[in-house]
Amino acid sequence: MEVILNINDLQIDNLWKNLSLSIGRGTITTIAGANHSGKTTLAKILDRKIEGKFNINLRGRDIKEYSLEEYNQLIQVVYPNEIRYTEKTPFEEMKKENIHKTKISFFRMNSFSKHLLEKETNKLTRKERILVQILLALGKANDIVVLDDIDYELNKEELDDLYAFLKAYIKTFKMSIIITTLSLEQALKTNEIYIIDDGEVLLHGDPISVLQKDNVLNKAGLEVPFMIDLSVKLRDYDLIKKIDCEKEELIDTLWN
Amino acid sequence: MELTWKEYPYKDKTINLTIKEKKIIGLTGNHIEDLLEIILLKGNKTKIEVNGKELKEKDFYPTKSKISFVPQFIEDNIHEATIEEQMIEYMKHNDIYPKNLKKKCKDALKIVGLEESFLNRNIYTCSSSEKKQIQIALELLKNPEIIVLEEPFQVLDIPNKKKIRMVLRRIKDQFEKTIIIVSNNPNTLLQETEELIIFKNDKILAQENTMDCYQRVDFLKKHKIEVPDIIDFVYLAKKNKKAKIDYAKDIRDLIKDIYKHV
Repeated sequence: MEVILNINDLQIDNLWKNLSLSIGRGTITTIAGANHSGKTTLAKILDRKIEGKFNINLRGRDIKEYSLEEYNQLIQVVYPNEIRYTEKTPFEEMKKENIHKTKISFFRMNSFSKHLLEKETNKLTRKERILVQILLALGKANDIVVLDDIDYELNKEELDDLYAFLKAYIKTFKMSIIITTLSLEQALKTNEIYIIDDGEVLLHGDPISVLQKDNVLNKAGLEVPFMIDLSVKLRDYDLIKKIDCEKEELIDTLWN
Repeated sequence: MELTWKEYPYKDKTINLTIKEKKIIGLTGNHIEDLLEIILLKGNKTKIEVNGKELKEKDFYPTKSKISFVPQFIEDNIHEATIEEQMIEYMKHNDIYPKNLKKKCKDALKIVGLEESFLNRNIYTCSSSEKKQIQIALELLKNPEIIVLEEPFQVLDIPNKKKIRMVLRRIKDQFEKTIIIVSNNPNTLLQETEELIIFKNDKILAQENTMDCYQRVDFLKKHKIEVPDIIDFVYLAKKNKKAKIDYAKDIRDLIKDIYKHV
């Protein structure tokens, strides 16, 4: 897999000791941590809103070597604060931003996004504004979109729909998504998880291998999703052999 | 204070609802903002009872002032430089004139578990849970009887959730307030509330003990109400395998039960 972004030994006083991570093209990566673990700071660094002597490479080049204009065409960051739109509809916002027509067509064809395009921007709800922000970011960036703590704005059903949409989108446009969050509920749907705590990467790997380290996660202030928590505890009692994330499958294993 | 809406006109229907005293109540469903308007006494003034007696016009605003609302996000409501200034401004705005302003502020902070030193802090320097504690402290300045909180546990990690849980329980138990938690997270509602009100498609679908309510899984699923994971797991085990396990709130109780029955 092509590594698209490399963060090497990131150090910030009182926050990070030596944070290193890499992001593969076409993947969704969860970066999870407790309150004040530096998730939003990381998002801002990737957004180049915080400058410093950071060793971060995008497509093999130091991010500081890109002009801001070039950089913004490669990476976009979405924060959960409301933004004001100047155009009448999200579709017109996209035209103003010169978003490629194949991307707009994708938004038009997908049931998750199509209803948003022609809504009046001044009548969008808070949730819809965030979803439009995500669409605009996906439209503008060619490589990576970072979603900073947006998951608590949406309910479970909306998050399921969002993740399905993101998966379809990155498959078509070969992009990568980074999700910074406190909640591990949706992390199973992503390709990789980094748990950050006390200034460094505490755990890293595929979702199942990371999430079953329940004691470590709890100690870091993070809640383990119910099905993983239950599976791990049942395995500790020797009632099952492997971790199961699906309720009906686990029930079959237990009562067969 | 117990508030009751009897045959309260709402759209083309009526609503029957009671907010009991000294409880932690969950509120979930859709178009919750409409029900919140009613609970916060922002709607029609008739067909409302307070402690079993009809709410008279002259008592409407004093009653309304006993109900506080803590929104999910604080920043929009903050205009002053320090928390003390914000608290004083809040008291002026609500016509509260205590003899000792500073003591009133300190007392409110103490109830939510914050030290006096917070008075000189700027809200933007506080953590997520401290912001939530300050929001609650602000509302306590007007000594409300009902405090409605919008998603108070969201964006909080385990220790911070624990902190807010303790604050809410203390306010209910020691200060005999009613706490209403508005949330779309059934796992949170199961863990944190004693009673549940479900408002769906402009109707009160249920108002009962939270655990009892969530055990009516078929009813909830029929109305597309999400059930807590732990309840759903037991429901499926009972339905698919006739498993003799009980509904539980705590995962450790569930595991003990599974251990006995597999």
